[in-house]
Amino acid sequence: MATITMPLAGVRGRQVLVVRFTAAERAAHWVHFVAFSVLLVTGMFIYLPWLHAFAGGAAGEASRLIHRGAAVLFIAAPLVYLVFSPREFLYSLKESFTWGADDVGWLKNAWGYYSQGKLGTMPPQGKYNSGQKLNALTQIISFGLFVITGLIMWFGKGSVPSNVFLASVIVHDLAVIATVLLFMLHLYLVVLHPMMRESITSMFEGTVTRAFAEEHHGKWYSERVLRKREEEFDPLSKK
Amino acid sequence: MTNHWVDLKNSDAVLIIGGNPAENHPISFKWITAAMEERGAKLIVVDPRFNRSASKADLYAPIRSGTDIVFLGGLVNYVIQNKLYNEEYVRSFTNALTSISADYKGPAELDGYFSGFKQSNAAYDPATWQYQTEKVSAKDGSGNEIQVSVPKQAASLDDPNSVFAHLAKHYARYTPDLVERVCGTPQATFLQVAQTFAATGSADKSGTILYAMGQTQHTVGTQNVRAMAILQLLLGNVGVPGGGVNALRGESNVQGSTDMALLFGDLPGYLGLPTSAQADLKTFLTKFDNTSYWSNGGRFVTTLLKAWWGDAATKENDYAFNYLPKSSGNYSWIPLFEAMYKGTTKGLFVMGMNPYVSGPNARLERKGFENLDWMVVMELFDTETSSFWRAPGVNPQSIKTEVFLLPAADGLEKSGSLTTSGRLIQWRNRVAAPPGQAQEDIWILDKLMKAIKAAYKDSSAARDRPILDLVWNYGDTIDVQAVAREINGYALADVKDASNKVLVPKGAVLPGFPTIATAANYDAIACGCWIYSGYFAPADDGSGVTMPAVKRRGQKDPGGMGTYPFWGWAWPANRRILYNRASARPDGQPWSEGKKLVWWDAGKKTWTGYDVPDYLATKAPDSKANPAGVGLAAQAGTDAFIMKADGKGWLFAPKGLNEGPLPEHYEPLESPTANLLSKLQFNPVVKIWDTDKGKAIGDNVGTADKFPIVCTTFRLTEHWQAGAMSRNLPWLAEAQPGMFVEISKELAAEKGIGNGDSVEITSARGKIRATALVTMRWKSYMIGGKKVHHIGMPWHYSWVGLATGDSANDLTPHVGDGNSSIPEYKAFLVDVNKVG
Amino acid sequence: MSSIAMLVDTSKCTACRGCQIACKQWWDLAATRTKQTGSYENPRDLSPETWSRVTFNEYEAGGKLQWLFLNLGCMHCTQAACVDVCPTGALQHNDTGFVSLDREQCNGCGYCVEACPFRIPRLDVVNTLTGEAKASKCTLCQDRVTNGLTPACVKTCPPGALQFGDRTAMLSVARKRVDTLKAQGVAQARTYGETELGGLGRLYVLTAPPTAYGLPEAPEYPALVNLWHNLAQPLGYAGAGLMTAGLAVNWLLTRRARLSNVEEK
Repeated sequence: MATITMPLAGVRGRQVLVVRFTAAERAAHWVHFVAFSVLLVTGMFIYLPWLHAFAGGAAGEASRLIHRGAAVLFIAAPLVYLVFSPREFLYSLKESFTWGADDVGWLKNAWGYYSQGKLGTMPPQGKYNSGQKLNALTQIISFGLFVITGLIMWFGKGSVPSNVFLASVIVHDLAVIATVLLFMLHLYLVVLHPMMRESITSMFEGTVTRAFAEEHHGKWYSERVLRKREEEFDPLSKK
Repeated sequence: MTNHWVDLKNSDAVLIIGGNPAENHPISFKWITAAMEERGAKLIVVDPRFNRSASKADLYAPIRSGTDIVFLGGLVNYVIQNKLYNEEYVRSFTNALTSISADYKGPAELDGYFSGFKQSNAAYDPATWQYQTEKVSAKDGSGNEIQVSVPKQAASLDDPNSVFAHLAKHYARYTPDLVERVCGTPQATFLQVAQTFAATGSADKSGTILYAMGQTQHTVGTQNVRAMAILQLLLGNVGVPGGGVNALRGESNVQGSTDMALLFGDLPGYLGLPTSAQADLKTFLTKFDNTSYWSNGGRFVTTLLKAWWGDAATKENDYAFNYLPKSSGNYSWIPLFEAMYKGTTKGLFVMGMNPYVSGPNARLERKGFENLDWMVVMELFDTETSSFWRAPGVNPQSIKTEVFLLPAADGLEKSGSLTTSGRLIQWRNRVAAPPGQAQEDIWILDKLMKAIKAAYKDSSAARDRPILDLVWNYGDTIDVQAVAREINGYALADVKDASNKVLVPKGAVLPGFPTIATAANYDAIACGCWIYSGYFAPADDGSGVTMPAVKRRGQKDPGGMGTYPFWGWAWPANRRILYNRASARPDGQPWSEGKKLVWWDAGKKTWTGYDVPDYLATKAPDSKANPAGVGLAAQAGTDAFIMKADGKGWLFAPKGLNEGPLPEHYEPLESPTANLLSKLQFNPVVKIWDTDKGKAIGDNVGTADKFPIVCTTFRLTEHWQAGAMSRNLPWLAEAQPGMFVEISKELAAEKGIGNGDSVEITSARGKIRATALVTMRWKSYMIGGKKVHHIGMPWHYSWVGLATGDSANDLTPHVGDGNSSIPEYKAFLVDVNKVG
Repeated sequence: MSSIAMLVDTSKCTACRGCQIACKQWWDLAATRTKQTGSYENPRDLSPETWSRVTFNEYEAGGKLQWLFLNLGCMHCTQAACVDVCPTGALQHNDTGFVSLDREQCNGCGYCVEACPFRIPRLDVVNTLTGEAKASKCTLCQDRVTNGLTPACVKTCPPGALQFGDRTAMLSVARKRVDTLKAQGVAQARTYGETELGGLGRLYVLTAPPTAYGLPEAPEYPALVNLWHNLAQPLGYAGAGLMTAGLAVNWLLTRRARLSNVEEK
C-alpha cells in the first residue's frame, strides 16, 4: 500500500534511527505550534474574564495585532507542509481520517498502557497513533472552523448578520476548547510522559529510534520503513 | 406678541394658525407643554400640513393655504351665533356698541366690496366706514363749556347700526359649510375647533392665538391678523394672561429691528415716517390721535429728532424735521426689487440677509442684482447674494456690479441687546472674539458714518446738513452702551416739570417715557426710541442690586404668572402683557382668581398686580371721560385700550386698513377655485405687478388649468431663513442636507412618484428640482366639491454652502399684501412631475 | 438596575433634534455628508459620529395620524448583552447602573455591536486589516453626570421631553404621564423600559405601540450570547479542569510504575 520510502538515518548511541518527519513536516509542525500557542494566549485575554486587563488598552492593541499576525502564520503552516512535502502532507491527511479496529483497541488500552506501562496490549499503530490522529483530526477540523469564523470576525463585521457573527464567536471558542484539550494531552504525552520522550525529539530531529518506532508505530515501521529497507544496510549490525 | 413666551403656560387653549412654533420657535413648546400638562390646555393646530406642531396637538384641522379669513370668520360667526363671547368684555372694552355710519355697506350687500371703492385708483374712500358721532357738552381746559363730537354709542348689541350688529351680519355668511367648501376643513373638525376655542370666552378661561408668516405672507395678510384680533376681543382674550394675539417673530432680534424702524414706513418706536405731503412738523403731528396716549406722539418725535440732531434741532427749525427723509411711495420689498430690475436702484447694502434666496419670484429679483453698480454684503459667510455674479449659468464677465463682502461678527461675538417676540429685551455679552477680519456690524457702520461725515465736511450745501449735523458721539471706537444710552434717552439739560422741579438732571439717563410725557421742557431730552425708554436706566433686579434694567437676571415671579418683572426689561415700561387693564373687569377686579394679573386697589387708589399696569396707575375704574380733555383725560376708567382714540379694542376698524374695516375673504392671486363667497375673486386694492409678463423671466401669473396644485412654503427647525448661517453649519447641514417637497400619498400615486424620487416643480415663474418626500401628513382637499392637491416645501436652499438645493422662491409670485406689501409666499399654484 | 435614569417622553417631543445636535456638540462628533432621500431623518442611522438621533415615524390608527418622534440612543439595559460580551471591560455598568464605555480600553472586537438587541453601539473601524477600531455609543454623558450636570441632550431639550433623575422618580413621572395621556384619550399610551431587559436606564413614554417607533415590542437578550455564556464558557472551564486532573493522575501513576522509554532490544 504505502509507496513512500523512509531511509534509516543513522545511529544515536546504540540505537538505530529511522526518519519519521521530513524537514517540511517539522517546520510546519513548529510553525503551527507557535502560531497556535500565540493565538491561544492572545485569545485567552479576551476569553478569560480574569485576563481582561490584557485585552484592553495598549496590551489589547498589541494582542489584537499579534493575534492577527499569528493567524496568518496559522493559516500558512499547513501550506508550507503542502508545498514542500506534498506527499507526506497527503499521506498524513489521509492517515488522520483513516480509522479502524486498531484505533479502537488503542483507545481502549491507552489508559492502562500510559499509566501502568502495560506493554503488548496496544495494537500496532501507523505513523501516528490513534491519539495523535485524534489530535490531528481535531486540529484539522478546528483549523477550518478557526479560519472561517476568524475571517468572519475579522472582515465580516457589520456585513454579516449579527447571529452569524455571534455564532462565529461561539464556534471559534468551541474549536478552541476542543483543540486545547487535545493539545494539553498531546503536550503532556510528548513532554512529560516517560514513555514518549522520543516523540518530541523526532519533531526536532526528524528521527526516532527503531525501538521506539517498533513499539509505538509498529504498523508504520513494518509497512513503510522495514519492508522497504530490510534488505538494506543495517548500521547497527555492521558495528 | 401682545403677551409673551412664558405666558403661554397660562393658556387654556392654544390655537396655532399660520405658524409652526414646534419647528420654528422650539422653546415655545416648553410653555405650551406646561399649559397642556399643568392646566389641561388644549392645543389646536390649523395648517395646510400636519407639521411638527400638529404632532403634539389635541386637534389638527387641515386648511387650504390662503383661506384663513374664512376659517377665522367661521369661528367669529360660531362665537356670535352661540353667544359664547364674553359679553361684559365686549360691551365695555371693545367698540361693539359704537354706531357706524348709516351709509356703510359691507360685502354681504355689495358682493365682496365694501362701500367706498373707487375703481379709478383701485382704492377705498373710508368715509362710510366711520363712527357716527354726536355732540356732547364738556368743559375744556379753561373750564369753558364747549360742544364736542364723540362716537355715538348704541344702546344694545342688537342695534343694527352697532359695530356688533355689522360684525354679526358680515360673518353670518361664514358658515361651517362655507369653511368646509373654501378651506377644505371637514365640518366636524372645524366645529370641534370652534367648540374648543370658543370655550375660552368664559371669564375664568383664556385662549391664545399664535401665528407667524402663515398668516401674514398673503395678499390679505394684515386682514388675517385683524380676524384673529376680532376673535380674541370677542372672547375677552386680549390683555389677559394666557391670551392675546401673538406674532411669533421669525428671528431672534427681528422684533428689536422692527422696533428700531426696520420697515420702510416707520421711525423708531412706530412713530411713522413722514410723507412728502407732510411738509412740516405740525402737519406731520396731526396724524396722532388727540384722545389717546398718542397725544404724546409729538413729544416722542421731538425727543427722537433731538437724539439725532442735538443742538441743530431747535424749536425754531421744527426740531430739524426737514432733515428727515420723507417717503413718496411704497419702498417695500417688491417695489424695491422691481426698481432694481428696471435699473433705477444703483447700490445695495445687504446686512445679515440673503435676498438671492429669500425674495419672491427670485429669478426676476436676482436679475436686478446685475443692474446694480455696487453691492455691499455684511455677512458671516459667503452667500448666494454675495456670489450672485458667479452663480450657475451666470457669466462673471458679463456682470458689471462691484461686490464687497465685509466679514461680520456673529451674535455671540458682540455685546448688545436682543428683543424677543414677547418684547422682552435682554442684554448679552460677547462670548468670543470674531475670527479674522470680521467686525461687529456696529463697528462697520460707525466707520462708514465717520467716513461719510468726513467726505461731506467741507460742504456748505443745505441738503448736506442732516449728515453734518447728525449727532455721532459714540466714541473713537464705537461703544454699544453709548448707543443703548441714546436709545433709552438722556437729558441734554436739566429736565423739569411744570413746577420747575428737576425730573432728570443733565446727562442722566431717562427713567422712562412718562418723563417725556410730563416734562415741561421735553425738548431737553434726547431719546432714540421712546418705547425703549427705561430699558437702560438703573433698576433693581429684585435682590437690591441695581444695574441697567436690560441687564437684570432677577428671577422673582410675583404671583407665579410668569411675568418675571426683574428679568431683563420689556417694552413698553417693562410691561409684560399689553392692554392688561383688560385682565380686570370693568370695575377693576380680576375676571377670575386664576387669571389675576393687574387690578384696582380701591384702598390705595391705585392699579397694582404682578405686571406693570398698562394704564394710568391712579385712574380709577369709575373715572369719567372728559370729552374735551386731551389724551387719556378724554378716556374713561373702563377704556382699556389707551392707544386707541376711543379707548376701545376695535372689532370694526374705521381706519388704518386699505381693503375694508372687516376682514373679508378673497382668494390668493393664484387660486385653484373661484371665490365661493362673492364674485370678487381677489383683494381689490392689491397691485399686481406685470413686469416682463409673458417672458421667461417676468411677473407671470399661473392658472389652475396649467398649475392645478396649491403650494405653500415653510421653514425647518434645522435651518434658518435663507440659510446663510445654518447651511454653513456642518451639524445642521448634516441634519437637513437638501431640498425636498412634501407630497401626499394620493398625489404621489396619481403622478407615479415614489418617496425619494427626484421631481420637478413648476410654476408660472420657473421650475425647480427637489426630492419627493411622500407622506401621510398631507391629504388632498375637497374645495367646492372638487379635489385639489396641496403640497409644501422648505425655502431655505440654494447653491452656496454645505447644504444645497433649488430655491422654492424661484416659484413664488410677485404680489404683496394690501397693507404691508409683504409678499404672498404662502399660497401659489404649481405642477409636480417626476423627473425622467 | 440603574439608580438614575433618563426619561424620554415622546408625547412631548417636538423633534427639534436639539438633542441630536447637542450630543454632537458636547462630544465634538463630526458632521457626516448626508443626502435628502425623502425623510426628515438625517443621518439615517447611528454611527461612530452619531450617538443619538431622533427618528420620525408616521403611524395612523383609528383614523388619527400620529407623527411619532423617538430619541434613540443607548438604552442602558440592566441585562446588558454588550457588557456581558465585552472582552476588555470597556463596557461596564458603572456605579449608577449606566452602561459606561471606556474607549481607551475598547479593543474594537465589535462583539457589543452584534450583541445589542437595539443595535445601538457602532464600531469606528480605523483599519480593517489591523482590526483597529473603537466602539462608540451614548454613555448618557457619564462625564457630565459624574460632575453633577445632566446629559447634554437633556439639558438642551426645549419642551422638557427629556428628563433625568432618580429612576424611581422618573418611573413615577412616566406612569403619571401615561395616566394623563390615557385620560386624554391616548389609548395606546404606555411606558417602555420599566422591565424590559431587567429595566432600561432610558425610559420611554410612548403614545403608540413600540413597533410603530421601530422599537422591539419585547426586546430579547440575544440567545447566542446566552449560549456563549451557558455553554462555551463552562465547557471550557470544565474540559480544561477534567483534562488537567486526568493528566495529573496519569503522571503520578507513571511515576509509581517507573515507566520509561523503550530501548533497542
